[in-house]
Amino acid sequence: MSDQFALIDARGRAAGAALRTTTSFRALPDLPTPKRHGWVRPAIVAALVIAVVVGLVAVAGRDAAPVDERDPKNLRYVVDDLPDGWSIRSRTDATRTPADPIPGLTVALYGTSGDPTAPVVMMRWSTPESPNGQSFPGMGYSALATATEVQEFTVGDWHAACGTEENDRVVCLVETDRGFVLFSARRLPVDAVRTMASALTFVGESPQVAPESLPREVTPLYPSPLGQYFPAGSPGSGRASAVELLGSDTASAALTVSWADETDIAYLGLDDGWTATTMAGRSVFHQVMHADVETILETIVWIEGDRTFFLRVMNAPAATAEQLVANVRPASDTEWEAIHATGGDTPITEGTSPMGTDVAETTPTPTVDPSAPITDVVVSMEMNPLTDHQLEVVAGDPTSPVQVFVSYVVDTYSVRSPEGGGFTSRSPMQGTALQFAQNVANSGLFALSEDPDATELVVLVSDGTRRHVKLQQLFDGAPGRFAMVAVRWDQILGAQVLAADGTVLTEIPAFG
Amino acid sequence: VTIDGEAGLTTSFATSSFDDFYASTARRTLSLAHALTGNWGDAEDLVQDAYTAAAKKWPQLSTYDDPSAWVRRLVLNRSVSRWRRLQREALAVVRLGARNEDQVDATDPVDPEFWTAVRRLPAQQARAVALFYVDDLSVEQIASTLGCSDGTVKTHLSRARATLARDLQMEDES
Repeated sequence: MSDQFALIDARGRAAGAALRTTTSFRALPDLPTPKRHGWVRPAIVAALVIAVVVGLVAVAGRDAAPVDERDPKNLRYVVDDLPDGWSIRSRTDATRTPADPIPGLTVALYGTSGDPTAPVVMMRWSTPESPNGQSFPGMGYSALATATEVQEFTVGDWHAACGTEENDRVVCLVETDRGFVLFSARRLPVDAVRTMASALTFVGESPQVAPESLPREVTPLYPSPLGQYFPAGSPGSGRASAVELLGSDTASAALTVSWADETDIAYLGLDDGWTATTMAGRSVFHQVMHADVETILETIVWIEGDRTFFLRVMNAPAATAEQLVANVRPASDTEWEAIHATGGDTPITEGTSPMGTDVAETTPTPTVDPSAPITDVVVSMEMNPLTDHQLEVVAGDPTSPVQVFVSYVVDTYSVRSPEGGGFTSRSPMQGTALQFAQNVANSGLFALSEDPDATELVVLVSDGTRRHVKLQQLFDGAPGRFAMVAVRWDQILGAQVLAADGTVLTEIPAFG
Repeated sequence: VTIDGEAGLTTSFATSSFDDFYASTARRTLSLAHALTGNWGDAEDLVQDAYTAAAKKWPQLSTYDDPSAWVRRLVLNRSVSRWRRLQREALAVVRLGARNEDQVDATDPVDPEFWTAVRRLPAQQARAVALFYVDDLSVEQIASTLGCSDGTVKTHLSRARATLARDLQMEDES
């Protein structure tokens, strides 16, 4: 290393060598190695298999459907008498083998079976052995990014925090020595969830909450003991058949059918807006969400016989959902085969990035005329504090501004686009993050840095402009600074974060 | 698959037992854990936890080129909670107006002032320094362990050493 630090290097190496020497004389800690005989592991596996089989039989019994009738073909349903302009676009088959559980993530659900309008809590644990040793997205303090108030407390030696969001969702997080445990709740006061989080312990390898510490309004639903959970209606579960319907303009719908499981219905309660009602003579739960002014998403869920039906309808006239519900019926093999198949045994991946290949393949690579002069433009950026740990950033643009929400909660930065997607990073950060806000139609590129040298974000755009914006301090007491340029991602030729002397600290992917 | 173990030993982990792996690497891991935690109790807990986890995964880990890197990474990850607690405690001490020398950990075997200064660094800088001085890892090896670029490691090391030199009043006149 450089001579500049010769003295400190010499001291550091001497201290390191002395520490190693001292350690070499210490006894090593005993490892609690279980004494396993050759037959023990197969016995454990056999016990687990028996437990799973018993569980399946119990579920099957509850649903009054013999196991041998649980052929995925029996989940094939279509919609008859479609409204004018509607058609069936594609189908997806359920699989006999549901998707593999996510390694390193375990889930427990507490609520009221079959009722999405009742109080509900989900506990998730991101183990240290999760892929790459990283927590799952959202499984960290960034989960509190949109909380209006955050309380920090301790659970034994563990640090913990709870917060309440505007839409009445409560989030509590316990940073255990075995990874984060996240509690998400609806229709419960923050104190009840905090009490539950405060009672968290590890029993063997599983986080657990003693029954006496659960809120009175909930009971353990899934699983016992803690395990994996894919709600049947979710993409990727492999447990459901589905048909996708296309209407006129931007209207669309999807019908998903799985084996009846009232836990699935309780799980839906983690969203708000559910009401119990009657639609086309069926008792259903109905939810209407306005993703934005122009996008309306209706979800209708009902159990009929031994099947659960999820119907999601987007941007359709008011009576459309009821008409679709009224006309759901089993598909014949012939008509099912005639529908274009998607997915099949491959679970669907939820969400797509604006940088995904489906977009990139149809978008020409942006270029700039090499003979045209580059025009330097200083662009505007506003930071509007919302709470003491959250602010809104609006980046100006000649065509349309871009908005994101930036938060700093318990040493964790979070950048969220109103349309979904986001970025989180724990402080201290490794260098400078240079990322796209996840929004195709109206995108932005932001830089978030704790590097004290980082001064300016410069973006070269295919219209021949080079846009400059200074990094600004985010919050008092937080070392992070932020800058954003409003420009579509597919028009960006390159971007750099510069020091005051022009040194390039970070760049993507090349800068002309 | 061979790697250099401690004291110049070469060990084939693909064919060796977990016990051999533990015996040949655990002391160095213990040194790393002590550098980051500052006391033997926490360090031994970290090592015990990490190697217990490694034992469960040994059939898989034994096929790695360097299974000790996996253990090292686990120790670094799991030191975070303890790290944050120590930082909060240190901050509380500062708020209460305690003198600087009161924060020196008497359990550090040699040069406690140096290790206390290391543990005051931002966590990622402290990890880089510990891997550099205790484990004698190269910049490339540290980058691989921390999951970042060589340039980031160089930045961490440079800033960490500047801070250490300032805190320990060891800035070179040159």
